[in-house]
Amino acid sequence: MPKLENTQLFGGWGRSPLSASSPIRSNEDTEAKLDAIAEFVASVPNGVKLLARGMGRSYGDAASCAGGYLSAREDFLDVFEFDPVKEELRASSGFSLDEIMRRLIPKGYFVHVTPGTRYVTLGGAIAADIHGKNHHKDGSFINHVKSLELITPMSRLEITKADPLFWATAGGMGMTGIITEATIRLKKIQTAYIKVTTQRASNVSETIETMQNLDDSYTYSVAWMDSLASGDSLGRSVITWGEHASEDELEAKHANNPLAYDPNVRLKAPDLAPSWLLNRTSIRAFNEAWYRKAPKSKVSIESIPNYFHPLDSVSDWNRLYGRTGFLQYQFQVPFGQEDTLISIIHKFSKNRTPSFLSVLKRFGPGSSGHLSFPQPGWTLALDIPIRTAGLSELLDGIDFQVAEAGGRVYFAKDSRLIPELVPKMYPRLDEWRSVIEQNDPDGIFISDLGKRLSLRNSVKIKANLVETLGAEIGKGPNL
Amino acid sequence: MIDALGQPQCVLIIGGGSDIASALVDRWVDMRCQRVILAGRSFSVMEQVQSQLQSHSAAKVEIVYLDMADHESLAPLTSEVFEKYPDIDMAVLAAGQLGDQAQDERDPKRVEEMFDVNATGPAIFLTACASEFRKKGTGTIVVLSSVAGERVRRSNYVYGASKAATDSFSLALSEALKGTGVNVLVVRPGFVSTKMTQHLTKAPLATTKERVANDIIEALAKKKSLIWSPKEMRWVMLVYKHIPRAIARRIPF
Repeated sequence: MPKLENTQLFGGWGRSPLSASSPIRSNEDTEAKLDAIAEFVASVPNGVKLLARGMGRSYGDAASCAGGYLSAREDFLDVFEFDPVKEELRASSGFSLDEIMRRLIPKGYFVHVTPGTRYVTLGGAIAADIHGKNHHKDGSFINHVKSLELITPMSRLEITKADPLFWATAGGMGMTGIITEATIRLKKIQTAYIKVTTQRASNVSETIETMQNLDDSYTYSVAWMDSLASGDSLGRSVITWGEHASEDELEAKHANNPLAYDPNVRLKAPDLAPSWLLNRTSIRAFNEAWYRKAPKSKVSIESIPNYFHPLDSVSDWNRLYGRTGFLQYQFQVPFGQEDTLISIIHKFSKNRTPSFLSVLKRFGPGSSGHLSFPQPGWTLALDIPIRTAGLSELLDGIDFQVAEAGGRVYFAKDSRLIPELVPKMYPRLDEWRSVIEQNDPDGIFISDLGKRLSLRNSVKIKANLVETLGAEIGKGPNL
Repeated sequence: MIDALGQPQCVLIIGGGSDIASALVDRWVDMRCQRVILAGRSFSVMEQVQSQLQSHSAAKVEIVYLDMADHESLAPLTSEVFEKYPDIDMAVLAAGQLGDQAQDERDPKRVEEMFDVNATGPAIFLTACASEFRKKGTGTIVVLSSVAGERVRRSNYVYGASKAATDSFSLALSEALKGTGVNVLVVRPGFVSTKMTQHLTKAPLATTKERVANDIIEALAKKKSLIWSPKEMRWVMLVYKHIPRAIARRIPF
């Protein structure tokens, strides 16, 4: 049987909040291990919560389980079966996209969806139904998953798109059970390089218009926005589009070895950075320099890590925010709500919210995951230091505005949303709850995020809250 | 669950009638707080706080009996409260009495009572509460201490010494709880104009309960374990602590 280790503190990438739980580690070898873990899950003491943890790259409390048990990704690294004929990979859930890329890029295969970091597990990618720069073309991660295996409180299951539990798991933030394995489809590539088209947009309207006009011509698209810019420069951005480069597009020095892949980490952030290091002034200076440095327009060939995972080259970069940590705020608003988007960008700018380059992206059609985040529209993500004055009130107001516009906040990034707004943001919550109720009637699988947002039980809306937030955006309560 | 910015969803207030605690809860119920449990010995005062809170918030407000001077029942009652309200993620220890130095210093019975309520009771409660939060792997305890406990003065040494005990106890508890998911914030307000101090003349750097509440909310977001309110009080006390006794005794407050 798996053993419980001593209690430790766990949190997300933003390092706030933190809670203590006991890791579960298995001491058996492959064959019997998953059955033993399933047996362990079925026999957890009454009232104890349990959750699978991957690499802890969600930002808030999605991979925390206060006072409960956390499974460790190291116990889910046994299967890695690449099928070049079917162009599929069947792998244990603990493998990171980094490990998958190291093994498969040299063979000419890539994952269909990669987020801004390679350090997420296969299990985590499914649980958060992650998206990448090609969402407008290829959708989210679950679109490319054929089947997955799950340890639920009742049993071990293999599920496919025909099962409601499959869709409750995609974006279900780990609350359907432990994902143990998945079979995913792969993408054939000729080279390990991306042909990148870069263009500067001097304000938000230009950014929006350029992306609307040109996104459809490219597989990958993203804009890095300077959220501190104001006035005529409000929302100025550097937009990059990408395509997998073909062999004949490579420069001579890469042409001999077009699938060479070198994702090594260059720098390590110090553990002792003071919380004030990243402040309004230092962040503004960085954003300014970065915008000035970008070419007005150019085409270049970049490596996969450079284009997709620029921050991965500095390990533990989250430590730069110091002891108090930071949060990431990522929301989506539907197409047609560009005014809401601009008004929110304006709010961040007006409040001089210190944030490094924010990421703006257009989503295509969403998946069938009940709680999957992406749906057609605009998404914006900002990293903000926790010590920013008035942050709670600012984001509360924006949450409300997002909900009113028919948009939503991303659970994988969240660490502070209020439960009252969740049913409005995720209208299929009740459908998810009914699947969950059948699958896990005792409520064993619940994260700190799930508790904080009352994902399993409904919360009555506090009238005063709706009034305060509604008044702030100049609209009456309408929830 | 406490969020990334240190805001609670379910709060237990010990000394449910305290002005500073009420100012704090007033803010919290307008944010994320869904339930408040007021614990104390005076139902009439707690009922006033309850109706005040319910006048502007739909948060549930419960009242439970808890007496800091009844040491036998403190730990079992604390466990009962945590069992009944398993969502408690924040506890505020605001119980205490100021006493009357002139009478207290001549009456051993009154000194005993001051220490019962301000020192022994809080130490028992903090121990019970810390152990409940440890089991949950998360939780924050806010301890309302006082600058009076930082350097105990002739003019109110019974109160000051009892507060000094709780202050030291809480600071060390905060260290002991590192790595458990439980955080302790010790708050040292200066002179706060409240019903507890209305009969006294205002001291320098006097503050209001609303400002103390605001300082606490900011400190929780920044995960601090010790603050002064107002902030400048920290430097005043640093100097004051080091003034020789012969001079300190001539300072008139």
